[in-house]
Amino acid sequence: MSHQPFENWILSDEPLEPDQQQALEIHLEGCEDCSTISNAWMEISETIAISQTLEPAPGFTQRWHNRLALREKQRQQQKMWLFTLGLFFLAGIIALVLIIYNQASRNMFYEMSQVIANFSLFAVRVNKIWTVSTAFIKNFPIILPIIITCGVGMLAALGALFITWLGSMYKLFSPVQEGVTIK
Amino acid sequence: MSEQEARWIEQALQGNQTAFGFLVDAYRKPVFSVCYRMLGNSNDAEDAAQESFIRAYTNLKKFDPTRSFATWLLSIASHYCIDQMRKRRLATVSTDVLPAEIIADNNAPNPERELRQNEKEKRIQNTLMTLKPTDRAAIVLRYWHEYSEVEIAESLDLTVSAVKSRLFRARRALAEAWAASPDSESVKKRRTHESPAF
Repeated sequence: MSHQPFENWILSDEPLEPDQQQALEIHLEGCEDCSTISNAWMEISETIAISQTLEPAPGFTQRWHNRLALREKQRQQQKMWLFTLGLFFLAGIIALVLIIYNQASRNMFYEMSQVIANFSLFAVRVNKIWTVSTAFIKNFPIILPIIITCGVGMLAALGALFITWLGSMYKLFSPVQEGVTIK
Repeated sequence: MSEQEARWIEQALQGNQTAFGFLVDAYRKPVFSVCYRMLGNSNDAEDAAQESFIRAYTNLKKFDPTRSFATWLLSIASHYCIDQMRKRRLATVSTDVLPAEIIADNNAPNPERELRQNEKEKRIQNTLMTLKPTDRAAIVLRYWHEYSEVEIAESLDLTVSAVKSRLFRARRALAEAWAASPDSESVKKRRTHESPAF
């Protein structure tokens, strides 16, 4: 069953013509769906008409002032952060420009060859240290007795020299006996 | 817009927060009402109303003095609430926290009538929450704030024909939701015609 134009008329904000009103009333008597919609909309309209005005809790304006003050403080802090970040960004840009300028003012291939040469030199030195270290570790059992023998010999020689020196010192500072002539 | 309001706006434009405070005081009720009808609870409504006034204050330079300040303000509040609903995807409404003003007043001359009225308030709010955000805004502005279709179109950045079709669609959705609710008088009327077996 068609509910048009009756549904439009029920839900229309515009006042209906007398003949439209009459036709709608006749339709509503026989159509349960349209009658339900019509009653529901009438109830809604009545409820809206008598609904109370809502009001916020007391002190709304003061809370707004407080909120605005807080918001402005936050905005100030945000501005400061942005300014600081801007400064860092600017410093970064300047550093980048300087690096690029510095690099551009040199011969790039020469700089690259220098880097490679330094790296090669470093690798050669590391290799030499490695070779010497491994050779020493490999020959350690042979070298150890030689080191011990040389060490003991050197200590003995040093001991003998020290005793000789002590003896000569003793003689030098001992008192001279009477009647003894020094030749 | 009254001369006094125009003066307050002028002073607020020069940075006078106190002057804008008078405007906040003057329009707190309609702004809060729109926010409550849109969001469905007083905490969110308070927050939205406060935020709407902050936005109005910070964007006051954009206000066209030839237009109504109330329309501009409610437009900001409506847009803010629509954004909030889209963000939060509020599909359901919590009417547990109602503003003090619509909670039953036991000292009222007729508490029973007050209670019935509150029940209807809750029901209309619940029905309203079934609508899409923009349709809800159109209905709230049209029936609670008696805005014309042209004013709604201006407030919600829609064409007048779009407002008409949205209002019609929203009215039908409201009526259907109202009729479908178990407390509906229309349903009760309908049930009296049905067989007692059901």
